[in-house]
Amino acid sequence: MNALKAAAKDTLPIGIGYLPLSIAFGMMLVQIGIHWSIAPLFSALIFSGTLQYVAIPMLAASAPLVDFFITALIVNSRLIFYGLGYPIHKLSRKRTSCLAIFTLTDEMYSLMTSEKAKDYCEHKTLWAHMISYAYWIIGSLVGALLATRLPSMKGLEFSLTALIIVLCMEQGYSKKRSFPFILGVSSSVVALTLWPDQFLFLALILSMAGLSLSYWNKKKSALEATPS
Amino acid sequence: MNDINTTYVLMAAALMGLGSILLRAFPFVVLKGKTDQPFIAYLGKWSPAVILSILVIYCIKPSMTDSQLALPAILSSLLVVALHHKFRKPLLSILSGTGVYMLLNATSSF
Repeated sequence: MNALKAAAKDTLPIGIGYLPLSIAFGMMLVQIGIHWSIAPLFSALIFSGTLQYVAIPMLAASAPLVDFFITALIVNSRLIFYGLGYPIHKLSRKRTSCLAIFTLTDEMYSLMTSEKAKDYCEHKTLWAHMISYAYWIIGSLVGALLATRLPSMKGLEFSLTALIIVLCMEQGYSKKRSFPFILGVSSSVVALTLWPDQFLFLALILSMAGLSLSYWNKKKSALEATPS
Repeated sequence: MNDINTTYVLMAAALMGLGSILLRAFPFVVLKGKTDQPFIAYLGKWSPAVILSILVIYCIKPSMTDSQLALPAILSSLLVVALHHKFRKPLLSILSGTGVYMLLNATSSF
């Protein structure tokens, strides 16, 4: 029970970020002529904000089914990097680790790699995942049910940007070094210049290459420093 | 209201879900048992900070290309940074930033 309470407290900022976006998603789904009951199911199956927003015009245009699979692979390609640094060793049971991996998002990755999550036990980790997942599903349901009755929520989507800024700053406070941030920003600038349409994936590849280089450099200089 | 076939919508969701699951599981399958290797541990230690700084730019980018949204987005982001640096209360930073962004948006559209 304590683990649940503590997880609920730590995931509250994620909830504040998720609710407006999932509510807006539910509204849009109903507005293109889909039954309200589909919205929470849709969110439960995918649990990925960007991808679900991309799905809406595709559904409205009756895109071929295979396109949905391909779009998922392209839009969510960044997820392949989230195995790095995620504390999967905390989840000793196969079932819990599968649940955590299935519900891994940008925000869950950020939370679980933060200073705050260092002392998380298996229960607390799982609760944090499930609570965030629930925010997303419930938000979609609420949005779909109130689709015609809610006032415009223009600007509320900024809550997710604010959440990411906060999580990024928390990384800064715990890591106390500037080079990963410089690497991230410079990779982004290069990626934006070279290929703005696929900027996110390209920036991630560039930055991981940069990080690998810095590792070999460090290793090399460590070797040179030791007398043979 | 026109009706979009429910089976089609659910199939689409299932396929998007399947693609996402494959991507989510991929690194854990590949890295299984290798996380204590020094190179992987090094990447694991620093990649969250790198990835988050890229995500910040990814989140702000859509507003930057819109002349109506750019200034509100910059000002609200700065407010989030300032508040969070001073108080380190995530809820306070997020709610104030979002509130100011909505206000600026509402006033700039007149």
